[in-house]
Amino acid sequence: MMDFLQFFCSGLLNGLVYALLGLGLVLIFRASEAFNFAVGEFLVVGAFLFYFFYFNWGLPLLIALPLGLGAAGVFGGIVERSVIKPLMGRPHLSMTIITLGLSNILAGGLQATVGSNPYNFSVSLPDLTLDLGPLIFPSTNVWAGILSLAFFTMILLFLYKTRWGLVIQATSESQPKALCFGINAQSVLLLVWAIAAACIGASGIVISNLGALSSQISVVGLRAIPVVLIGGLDSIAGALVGGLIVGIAESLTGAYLEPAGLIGFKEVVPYFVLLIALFIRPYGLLGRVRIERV
Amino acid sequence: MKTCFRITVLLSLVCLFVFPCPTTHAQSKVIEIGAPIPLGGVGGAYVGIGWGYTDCQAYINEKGGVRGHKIAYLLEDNRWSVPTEIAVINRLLTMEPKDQLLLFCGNLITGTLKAMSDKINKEVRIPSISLSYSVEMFGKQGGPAKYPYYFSVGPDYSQQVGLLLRYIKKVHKKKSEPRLAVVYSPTEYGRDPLADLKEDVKKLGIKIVAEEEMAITASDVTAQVLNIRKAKPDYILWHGFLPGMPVSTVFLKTVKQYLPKVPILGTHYQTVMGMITAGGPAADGLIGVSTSVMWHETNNPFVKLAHEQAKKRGREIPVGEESNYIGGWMLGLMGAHAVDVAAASGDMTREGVKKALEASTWDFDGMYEGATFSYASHKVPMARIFKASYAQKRWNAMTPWLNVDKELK
Amino acid sequence: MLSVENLRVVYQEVISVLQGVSLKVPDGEITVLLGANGAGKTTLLRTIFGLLPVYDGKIIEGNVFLDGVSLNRFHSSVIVKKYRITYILEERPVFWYLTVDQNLKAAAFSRPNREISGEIARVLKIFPKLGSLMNTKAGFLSGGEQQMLTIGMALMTKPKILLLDEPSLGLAPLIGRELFGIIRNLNRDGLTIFLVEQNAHAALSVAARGYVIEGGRIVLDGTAQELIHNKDVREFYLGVAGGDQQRFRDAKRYKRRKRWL
Ligand SMILES: Nc1ncnc2c1ncn2[C@@H]1O[C@H](COP(=O)(O)OP(=O)(O)OP(=O)(O)O)[C@@H](O)[C@H]1O
Ligand SMILES: [Mg+2]
Repeated sequence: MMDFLQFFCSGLLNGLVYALLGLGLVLIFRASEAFNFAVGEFLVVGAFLFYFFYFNWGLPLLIALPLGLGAAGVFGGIVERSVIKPLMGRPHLSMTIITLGLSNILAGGLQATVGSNPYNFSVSLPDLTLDLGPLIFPSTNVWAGILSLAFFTMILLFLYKTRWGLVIQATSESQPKALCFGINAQSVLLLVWAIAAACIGASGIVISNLGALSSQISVVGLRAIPVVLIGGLDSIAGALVGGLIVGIAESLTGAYLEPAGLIGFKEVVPYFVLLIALFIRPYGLLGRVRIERV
Repeated sequence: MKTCFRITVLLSLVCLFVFPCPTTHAQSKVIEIGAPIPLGGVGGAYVGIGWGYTDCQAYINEKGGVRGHKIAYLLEDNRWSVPTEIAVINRLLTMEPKDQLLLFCGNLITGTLKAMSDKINKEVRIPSISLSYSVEMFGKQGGPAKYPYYFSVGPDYSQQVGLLLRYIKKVHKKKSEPRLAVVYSPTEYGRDPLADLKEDVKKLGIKIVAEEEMAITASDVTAQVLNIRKAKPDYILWHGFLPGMPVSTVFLKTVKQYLPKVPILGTHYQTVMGMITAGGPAADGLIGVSTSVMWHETNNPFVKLAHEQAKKRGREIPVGEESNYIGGWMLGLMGAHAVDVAAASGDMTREGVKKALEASTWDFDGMYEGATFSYASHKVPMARIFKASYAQKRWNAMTPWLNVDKELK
Repeated sequence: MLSVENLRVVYQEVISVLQGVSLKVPDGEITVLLGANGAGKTTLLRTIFGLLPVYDGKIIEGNVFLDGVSLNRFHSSVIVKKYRITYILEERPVFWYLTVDQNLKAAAFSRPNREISGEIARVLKIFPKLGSLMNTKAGFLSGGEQQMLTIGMALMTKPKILLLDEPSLGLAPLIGRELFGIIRNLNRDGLTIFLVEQNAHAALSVAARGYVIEGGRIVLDGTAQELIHNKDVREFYLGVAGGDQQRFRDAKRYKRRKRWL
């Protein structure tokens, strides 16, 4: 039983990181109706921007973190302006497809600039190791959970408690409608991409802190695909639920199924869960119930 | 029609300038050594190896080459991928003249060696010095009898693991028999020494209490480490990883947090500078077997040579690339030496190079500090055990050069 | 005064939709634009409101003026904020997944924060029914309620000129009548209204002036009274022809022919 609790809670902590990653994708999907396949590269770029401020310049964490996330936001904005905006008014699929190309271009750019060797990435944070005898949660994992949850909450507060958040929600539903009331839909989209990029960058920082930073951790970004599909592509709560489900499923698989001979099943289990989730609810567990009227 | 003609003429002129006709050189032919190395891909980029070759080539050619022949290392990126490497090798074999391309000397992943074994050992018969220490290729089941053209630069993984197990026996203080957790990657490389390891521990009286696989792309190994923790091991042995793999650092960090007191022991590729630079403080205290010398060991004549040459060519070796740079030098010198011996005996062919390698007792300009050994087994039997120091950013030797042929009797 | 002069508009560089449209919307009046499906009414509103680029459309000639200033280049956000024109889409532009309250607040984006609660109170005075629906998602409102919310949202932007695209579309006749009553009241309070309608009868009954657009050209204009008595308008938009009752189907066929020729 203690065992189960240990694995369950470790999965939960990881799940919070996945949830943050998923949130970035959901924000983009709601606003642009595009699935951002470049999520892995966004993750790496965000983490490297932070790396630059924190490790290279040696700025204190409390300054480097906002700076890094801000820079990640600017990066997201640049991507939106240069790649997504020119496609406005075209079928949404074209945006999704262009993110695939973008992913390749960014991967090449990263390879050329930072190479594929790992960079040591240990942010010095107060030791929060939870050592409860049979249960133990190491400091970096606890911090990963806490930071992810904090970012997630901040973005939720912004979305649901501020005017700009309301406008983002409105624009995400329909750009022409938003335009009617003088909402500058383009600026809102720019903002959404910036926030989403910062969000993905934040999860990149947290993930790098669990291991090392290298352009190869972009594969973790793909973990976000089952996360958001399980939760529902357009649901913010779905990102949280999907993230936790994937985190826990991975942890329990690693604990109970892999030792039984199913090596590598951990990588597949999110898709397995996804399949079941889609059988139950085709829009994802918390996918928006579409208001249909004629 | 006219424009068509003009365009043709123009294109031909351009072609003439861009691809000048091959001129027949009056001077002696260049000796080519095929060198596939990983410059990208899932294993990470090891550019230092490339610099090692380049400087070694310049060094040899400045001295006048090998008996009047210039040497050329044909560097190719294999992306740490078997299909890519096979393609590279096949291309070199078809494109380069038989009397010029005398050997391969590079990464040569285990998977490639396996897939190409018939072609290299039976058809083409070209000596191939590999950075693989695969048991399957170079251990009891393989070896010169089965793969006469394959060479390695150190003890195979089983032998390396054997050295580590004996080291454990030596340092183990508790009364009870040592409890060992084994961690490896689910790759050919990772699983390679497992069978021998399991026999060896029985002989030595070590108990394997946990056995975990970790995917090389895994971003989280909490479950595996928790399983290990449950088994309460005294030592963890890990094998099958490269510093460029994301999982390596994740593993080190996770173990450091869940099992801070348990020493981790690794084989050759876990015992390189990249592991310290990537792992940071989490790599401190790591133990490992290495078949190579370390960059800071400037008393070693071979290392001294590499330092001098790097300085002469204005090359700054960044932290983390030192082991790779040395590896490049080692392979480069080894290939050139074999060609040299072959030329001396008047048989500068692939067959001649093979014979030269087998007869070699040469110790890399003093790299092995005078220790003598035989290369008849197609692998250099020498290795040492090191311990990582994060503060010093280096691996410190814990033992002198050990000859596995004697140690593992 | 809002005026449109010799406007020519194309979509996707080639689809010519407006071919030289000129009309005037005098301040403080209700001006109505009648026209069959596909005549270009919505396109005209988009052009005035600066939305053409969103639909890959372009003005190739002519101008939209507001009191002598050309609005051609402006983005809709500027038109709302600076020139105080608001446009209500044909499909009611309420945000389905937001509550009525949130809808009103989102619509007030161009207004300073402090004015919002006052504006909401003003809108609720005009549409008391919305008060009890404040926390309902707009997607679950009835068509009539949505139309009220739409107009309420438009009022949140404090417009001087309101562009209305077929507001009676899909409404029950009774509610439609109520709607035109509201439009008239808003106009009495000083709002200039440019009304695009298919329901010619109701529209002409509240309007001062009217235009008829066909195939991207203005084919008729005059005061509402003149139009009501015009023979063609009576026949094709009001559905009554002189003394002899013509069947609707015939009228439609004629209309179609006229359009294609
Ligand atoms: N985005 C667009 N791209 C290309 N053609 C368009 C576009 N929007 C409208 N059209 C075409 O322009 C013409 C006029 O359309 P518009 O929507 O302005 O008509 P309308 O008078 O509003 O009709 P309705 O009464 O049906 O609303 C139609 O033939 C339509 O097919
Ligand atoms: Mg219309």
